[in-house]
Amino acid sequence: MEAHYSLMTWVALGLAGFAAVAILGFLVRRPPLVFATKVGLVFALGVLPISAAMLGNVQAYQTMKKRTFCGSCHVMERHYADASDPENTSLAAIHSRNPAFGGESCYRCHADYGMLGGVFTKLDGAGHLYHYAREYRDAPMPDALRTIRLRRPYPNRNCMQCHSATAPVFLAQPDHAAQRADIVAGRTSCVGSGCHGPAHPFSKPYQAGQR
Amino acid sequence: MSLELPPKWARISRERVLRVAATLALVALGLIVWALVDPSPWAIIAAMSLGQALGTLSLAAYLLVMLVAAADRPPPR
Repeated sequence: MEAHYSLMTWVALGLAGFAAVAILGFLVRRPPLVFATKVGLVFALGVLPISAAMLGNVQAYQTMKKRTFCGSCHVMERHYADASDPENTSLAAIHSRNPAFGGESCYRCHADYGMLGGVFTKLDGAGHLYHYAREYRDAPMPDALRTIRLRRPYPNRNCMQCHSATAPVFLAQPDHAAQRADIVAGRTSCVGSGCHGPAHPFSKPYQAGQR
Repeated sequence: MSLELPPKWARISRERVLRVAATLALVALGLIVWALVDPSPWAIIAAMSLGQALGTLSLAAYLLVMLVAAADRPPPR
């Protein structure tokens, strides 16, 4: 996967480099355990690695939001291609072309937006990893497409982060106006058939056992 | 104050514990650097789990050695 060498990455690499040089110096020179050595080790084993790890965590969280990251697991290659195709008219592709979503479209649409949404999203991601390692690591693509699906129905509140369901242009659509209460309450799905349809329509024939 | 260690542990020198701690920290740093230069899923997972566990263990070992050294120091006259 393409690395993103931001200033934060370079600072983290620098801190890790300083720590590594100091540690190697300690291991090779074996200095006596005097006060200066102890202070040096506080930095080499504590301050510098912790700082590098913290910056690395922030960088990792930013990287994990990218569509390229989601698409780097082989079972997501078709979803990635579907969303990235500039000619595609699926919901995923349309939203991916929106600059507000851009290269983070998977995260923007699938993240939980509650107060602890970021935490729950990361926990879900850990669950994805668990399932990938146990069941899908060597799964052929057709098998994966037949069985991979959302754990819960796609919540309308994720759509409503941008589409507030209050704008005049939204209410001018008779179906929206008639079902607004059900849409807001999540009883009528935005991505149901007859409405806007699934975001990744290519996967549905596999899930229905037609492929 | 004196910190009594089990006899089996007492034979392990502080320098040796610090060398192990330094080696663990090097491995942890290696995993962190791997995730920074190649932010693939496995690299990030390794850095954020194993890397941070090893780094924490390394620092804990260092702090333990410092605690034992402070406890063994003779009281001032």
